[in-house]
Amino acid sequence: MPTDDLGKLIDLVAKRDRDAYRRLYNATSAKLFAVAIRIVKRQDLAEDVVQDVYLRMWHRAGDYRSNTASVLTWLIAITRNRAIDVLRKRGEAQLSDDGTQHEQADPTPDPFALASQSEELQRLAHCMEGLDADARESVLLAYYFGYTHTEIAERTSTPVGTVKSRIRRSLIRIKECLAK
Amino acid sequence: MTEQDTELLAAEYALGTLDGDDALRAERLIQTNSSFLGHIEAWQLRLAPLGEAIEDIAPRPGLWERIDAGTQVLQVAPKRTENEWTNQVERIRQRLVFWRLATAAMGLAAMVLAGIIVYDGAYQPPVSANSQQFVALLSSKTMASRYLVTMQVDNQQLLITSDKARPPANKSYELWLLFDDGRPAKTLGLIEPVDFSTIRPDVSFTQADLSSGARIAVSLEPMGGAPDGRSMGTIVYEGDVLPQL
Repeated sequence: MPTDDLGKLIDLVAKRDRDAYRRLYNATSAKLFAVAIRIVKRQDLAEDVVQDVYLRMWHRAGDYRSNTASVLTWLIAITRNRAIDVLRKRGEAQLSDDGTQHEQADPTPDPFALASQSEELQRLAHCMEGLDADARESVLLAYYFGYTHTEIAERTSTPVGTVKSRIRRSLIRIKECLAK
Repeated sequence: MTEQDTELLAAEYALGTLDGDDALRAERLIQTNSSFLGHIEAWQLRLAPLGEAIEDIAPRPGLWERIDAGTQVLQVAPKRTENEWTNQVERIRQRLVFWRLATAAMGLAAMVLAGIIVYDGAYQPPVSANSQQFVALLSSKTMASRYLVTMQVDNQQLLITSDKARPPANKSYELWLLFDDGRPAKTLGLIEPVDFSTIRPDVSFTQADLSSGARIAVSLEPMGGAPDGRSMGTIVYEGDVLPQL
């Protein structure tokens, strides 16, 4: 659904339009669920995350500001933040002992190869393409899987201090690049 | 810590890479430093376009029904002006944010009479004959805010919301199930400082647990919760568990 249409829908949701709420759910829930389940790895917990996000949206749709981000970007940010909270609260051990866990064999998504990129993603991808390959990999592992510094260090066989430095340098460069 | 260090910590928190002492430091700053929270939100938005590359996965069909049911109780009269609407929503929010289980448990008419919700007549509370759902409205002797907790036995899920309740800096609120038969209280987990939170406690609760004079309480604890998981701190909010009618 085009960005403008999502913007109109969220304006209507802020006015308690249930039809718009349903249409917004239909247009965005598959993306938000995919964001959540990559992080929390379990179907039931990912559904809880998405439920919390949409309940918050129903009561706080008026908080959305179109000059700061697109609707989808805003919702992805809220969803991922909530999913990270759940992940940290429950811990890996508890998350992985459930029979309904999501198969985590998925490769890291490649935002640079996406056929249709929003303007926001184009700018961010441009900035990230300027990072060293190792640094870019660390940021993407963190973003898509919710890994901590320590977990990235283990998965890439790299000292934790090196991972921290790479990510910090990357974040500084990303901010500087986006500000240009 | 310089301003740049603070913003970098916020960026790492938004990315989700912090653990150990760094994560604790960030949690403390969230409670005490509003600009730190602003940095986190800015970074969450900066990085969020990466989510576009994640391939869609449709949730199960029942999720929409759960969400829709959760919103249906708040019906603000549509003829109000924008300003009246905004003021009304704020008044409702300050009193309580509610959803259908509370309405079913406490009676819609009673809620309207109490002025807790505004009702435009369009909503009919759903009736479930075998729902195993319970609700508790938690109030405080010292705070004006309240918590609403709904409990579903079949899927061991709690939904919790509050108008404005938030723990003091460097403290946590913990949710407990109290029994009137002398059994020790069960911790149901920490309450997160968000508007709506779904909790799946590590301990199970049965219909019998909730049907026999149980109460729900919120205690004030050191950050991270009761040190041994059993000794409850000062109770700040408390309320009876009521079955859904």
